Amino acid sequence: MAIETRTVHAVATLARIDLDRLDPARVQGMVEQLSRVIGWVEQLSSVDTSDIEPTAHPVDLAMRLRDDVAVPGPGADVILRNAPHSDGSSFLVPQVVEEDTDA
Amino acid sequence: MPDQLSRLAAAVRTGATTSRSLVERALAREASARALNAVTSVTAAEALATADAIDAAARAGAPLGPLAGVPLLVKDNICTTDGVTTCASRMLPGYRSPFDAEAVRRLRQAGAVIVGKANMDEFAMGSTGETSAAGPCGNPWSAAHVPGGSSSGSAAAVAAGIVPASLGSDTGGSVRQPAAFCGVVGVKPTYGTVSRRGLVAYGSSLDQIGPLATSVADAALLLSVIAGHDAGDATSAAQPTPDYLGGLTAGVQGLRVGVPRALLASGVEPAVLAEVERAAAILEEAGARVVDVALPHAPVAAPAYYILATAEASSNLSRFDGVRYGHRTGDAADIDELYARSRAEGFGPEVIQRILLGTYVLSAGYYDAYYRKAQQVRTLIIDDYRAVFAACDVLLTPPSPSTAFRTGDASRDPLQMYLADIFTVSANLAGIPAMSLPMGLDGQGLPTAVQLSARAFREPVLFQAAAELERRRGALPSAPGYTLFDGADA
Repeated sequence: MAIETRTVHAVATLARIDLDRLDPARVQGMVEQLSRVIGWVEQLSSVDTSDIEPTAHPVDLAMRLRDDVAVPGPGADVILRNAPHSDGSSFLVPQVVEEDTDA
Repeated sequence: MPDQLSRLAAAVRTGATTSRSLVERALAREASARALNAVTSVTAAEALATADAIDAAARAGAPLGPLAGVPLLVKDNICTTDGVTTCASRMLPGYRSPFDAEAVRRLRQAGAVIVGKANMDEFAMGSTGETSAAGPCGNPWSAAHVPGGSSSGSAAAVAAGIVPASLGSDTGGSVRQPAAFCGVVGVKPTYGTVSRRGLVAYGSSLDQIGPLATSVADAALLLSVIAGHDAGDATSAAQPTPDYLGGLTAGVQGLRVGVPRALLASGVEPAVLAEVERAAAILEEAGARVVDVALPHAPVAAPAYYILATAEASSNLSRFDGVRYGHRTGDAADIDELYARSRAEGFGPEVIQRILLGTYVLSAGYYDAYYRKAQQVRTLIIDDYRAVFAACDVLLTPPSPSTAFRTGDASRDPLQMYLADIFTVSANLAGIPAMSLPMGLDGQGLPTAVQLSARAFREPVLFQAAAELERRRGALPSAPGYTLFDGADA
């Protein structure tokens, strides 16, 4: 199945990747490549999987409980060391909530 | 040298050599092999300080671990507190982990000295070592061929004698295939054997950290150090770690070795197929029984794997958003632009491609056709193995249908690369252990290898069979212009 350019852009929006930041020729290459890969994985439709349970994980996992004891983490200063923008106690991002102009 | 790691550690413990001299040797080797680009960062000061502390402990007669003073490299997607962890991506320049990966913690506890980080395909996505933002890694055997990937630097560094062993990670063959292309031993342990805590996640139901070394004994020793339950990884197996070393000299008398002859009949290079037959003959002569087995769903393993791995990757890599760590765009008016631009700028093309595929197969309307279907095929592959391992103890295949690919092949078809993973991805889908063992050289002088697989948690039988094969195969030459790390001239 061929994937259209606009489908790839819609998927990129879901994946939060701004394709306009990339070289258009590279994006076109990705569209073509994705079409081919999707065409390739479609061979799975020929496999009879009726009544076959899906496997999400290779080993049987049982949720294990541990004692409810607080374990110290590395500390906010260490964590924030890698933040591109912080004020020393929080990660900083562009304003998300609009200011209440009626206040 | 079959048990290099224990020999080096013993020499450090007894004072016959020093950890400092071994670490200095590794650093000098790295510097002289810089053209290979096998190493993304070196932590010389920290490594030398650790080495001095170990040497002081040895002089004081303090008890030291099984890897005392031995220099190692770990793949750049395994977190270390000294130096940086970049995943060979422009997304994570200068990232400093707040904690050591559990596997690294265990290495250090055993006395190992981490000298730096090994180059890799970006975020472990690739099978050539060429998608690294740090530039492609070379193959010590041939400038015209790739080292394989994604643990390209981990394999190349061991083959070039920069270090005696290293850690890689294997999501669909990323330890075994570069090990094969570079002529070293590489192990993908049973899922849950090695903690994934501190391994930057790619496909969480597939990823395992594994050792690369110059011998089966070294790989077994390294795995025995890093294996074991970790409460910090919910998928870590809670069972006792088997003895990997005890069976190394047990031989293969009566062992059943399965060869999937119908599967190997097409698409495998003659030189590669010949090594599988030679390995089968060697094991048979050593007392094993070779049986023909069938893996009917192996041909669809690669497409199923690419759906599941990319789906998991699209979720795992959503954490790279320019807020808590990593690259952040300098040009965003709002939070949505911040995410989308940071990610477009930080990720390389192969990573974006795989995130898009993974997002697509998980999206509404396609989920059942792709993702659920692939999960069902995964069940069929697990069932195939169940039948195979009822008939044999060890499965013998090639790790890859060919020896190393040529470098910089502009016409390289990514789909062909995905198809070449046919013999490795199934072990990750089924969670079983598998390892790559060098066998010799092909007509071009490139390393050849075979892959051995076994039932979950049966690494001991893998090592047992591989050690016998290694003994009877005989010594192999090292890469031209390089010698393996033996510390002799340190």
